Amino acid sequence: MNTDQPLPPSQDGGCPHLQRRSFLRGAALGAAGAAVLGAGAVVADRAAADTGAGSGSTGSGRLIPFQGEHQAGILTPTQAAASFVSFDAIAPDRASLQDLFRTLTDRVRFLTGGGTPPDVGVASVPSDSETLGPVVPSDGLTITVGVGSSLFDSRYGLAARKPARLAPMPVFPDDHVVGSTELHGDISLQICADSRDTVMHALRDIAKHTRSGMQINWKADGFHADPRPTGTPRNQLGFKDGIANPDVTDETVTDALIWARAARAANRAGSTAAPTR
Amino acid sequence: MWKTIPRGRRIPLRATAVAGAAAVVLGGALTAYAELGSAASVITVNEQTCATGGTGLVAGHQVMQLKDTARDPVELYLIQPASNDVYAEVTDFTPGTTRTLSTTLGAGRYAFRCVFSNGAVLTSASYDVGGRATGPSAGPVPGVQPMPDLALGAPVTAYRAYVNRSLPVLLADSRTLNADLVAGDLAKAKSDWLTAHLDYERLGAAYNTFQDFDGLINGTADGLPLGTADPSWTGFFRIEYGLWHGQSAAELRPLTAGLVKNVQGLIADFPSEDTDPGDLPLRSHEILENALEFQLSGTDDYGSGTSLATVYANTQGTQAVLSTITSLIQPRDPALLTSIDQWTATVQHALLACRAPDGTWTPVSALTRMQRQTLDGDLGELLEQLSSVPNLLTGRTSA
Repeated sequence: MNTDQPLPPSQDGGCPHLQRRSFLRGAALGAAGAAVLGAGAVVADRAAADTGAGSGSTGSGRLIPFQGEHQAGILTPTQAAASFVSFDAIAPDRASLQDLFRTLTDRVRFLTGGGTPPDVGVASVPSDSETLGPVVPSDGLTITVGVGSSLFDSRYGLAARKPARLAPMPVFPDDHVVGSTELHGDISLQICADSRDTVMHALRDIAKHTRSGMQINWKADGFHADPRPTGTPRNQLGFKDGIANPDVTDETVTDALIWARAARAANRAGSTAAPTR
Repeated sequence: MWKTIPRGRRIPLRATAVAGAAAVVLGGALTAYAELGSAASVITVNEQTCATGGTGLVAGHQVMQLKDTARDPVELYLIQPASNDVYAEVTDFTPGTTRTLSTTLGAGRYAFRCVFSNGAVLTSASYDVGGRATGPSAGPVPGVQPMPDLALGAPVTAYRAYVNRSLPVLLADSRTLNADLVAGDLAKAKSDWLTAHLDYERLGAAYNTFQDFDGLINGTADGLPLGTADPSWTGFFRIEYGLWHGQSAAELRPLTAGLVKNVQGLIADFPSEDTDPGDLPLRSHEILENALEFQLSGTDDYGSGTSLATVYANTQGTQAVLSTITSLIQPRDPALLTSIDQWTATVQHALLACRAPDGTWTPVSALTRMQRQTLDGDLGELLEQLSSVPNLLTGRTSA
């Protein structure tokens, strides 16, 4: 997968990115462009209780805060496992779409915070699959939510709010897209964690809670290799990938390169863009 | 097609290869992990008083250690004596073991009720849970009115009457299909095949009840050594494969004759086949779970492109099963039936909307992505609702 990343890739920031040059002949697996929502847009419902539960007793023990000025998973130090999942919205109307994003917010808040799933009565199905054990570990989980340009079509009355430069991923020369169905999407989730099963547990939980709101379009899994022997990890073609990334600890850099600012895009302040190829 | 796991959900034997490893499924919502929570208190289960120990319970999340010192296995329920509603349970609790019960209780008066395997039923002294639930967790769990196993007797009778009414229709339509092939009329056979097949799919609820006849009448080529060329493959899907792959009437005639024979065999055998009462609540979910996995995926389309018609028939079969247990669901969870009905209507409407203008069914493979996603999403949501029925109507005799 080629990547055209304005995001700071793997060295310091974010998930194991779909790496440059992975496929030189560019089967356009998972080509999509998404606007990653600012934290304010995702945290639409702050009324729910705080995640005082804390991280679980297993996993890496890392807890990456869900709430903040920006979404987690962008400047976050790289986790080991990732899934990039494209969904199409099937919510029948705008109100249902709002419900979908509220549900997403609630699930992301719980999953990334970890803790004991709510008890349910004997007549109900368990509230968690327990594939990670009875206490859900936070395990360095981040879930970064984005929206694709197609969400701003006529279905939900969002056309006027489409970011000006957000567009479907174009087909580039030498792209091989014939027969590919792994293209585009309304909503993107970048799910990263310190273990693969935590990523899978999160995706299953979200899919279960959003069945009638969105359906998976395509999914690409990724992992972050260990350094061999040292320094920047190699990708599967043997290249050391991401050796010259911007310094994401420097706010003047991130403000210039990554974050949308209120002066230019009032309704997207703190958001960024995430091309996926 | 189905394997029964004790006190758990059945898993389809047609597991995908990835999932082919052995799975251990724990029954119930209780797990045997040890948690050293500050609220942990040890309660001893015995055959004199049912349960002792563990005083000073405070409303909110509870983690109780339960140590079974009784002689016989026991079903242990946490009830409110005033209403007899069940708030938590430990199923198949065996002597000498310790189990952890994790739940969230509101303030009130509770007691343990022991239903021993030897038939003895004991209720413990009361436990007063004080205070008010605090913290971020969801509210206290609701109690549920326990249902004795015998309550499913009438639904089983009603369900069997439904099958008995339906089987002669299936036989008549199977004979029509066979007659088409005797006459060599393949075009008419295609249309009559669908009629007869949907008769069977509408029975839906019948996996174990029909025993080997289900495989003979409605088995797929999946898992057969020679696949679609396997000589042991019979029934509707085999006939479908032949009709839509250019096989001759002469080749298919033995199969349709065999179908008639097997339906007759089923009719003769059904009176002696048991219907496990616990199957009805499970099937109300499993029929469409099966439809989602094998029909809506297109896996079981052997050429006719009528998988969506099968799903529609399966929704009707689900409604037939649900109608037998409606009176048991209603007092326990009134909102659930409303929700199931709404989503069933949504799914049925979406299925019908996918037909061509002339009424023919659209093959799953020809659906647009949006149509397919909408069907998957709506059926998935209906299944989330239906998944509550088995736990709601688990037999809790004497609880």
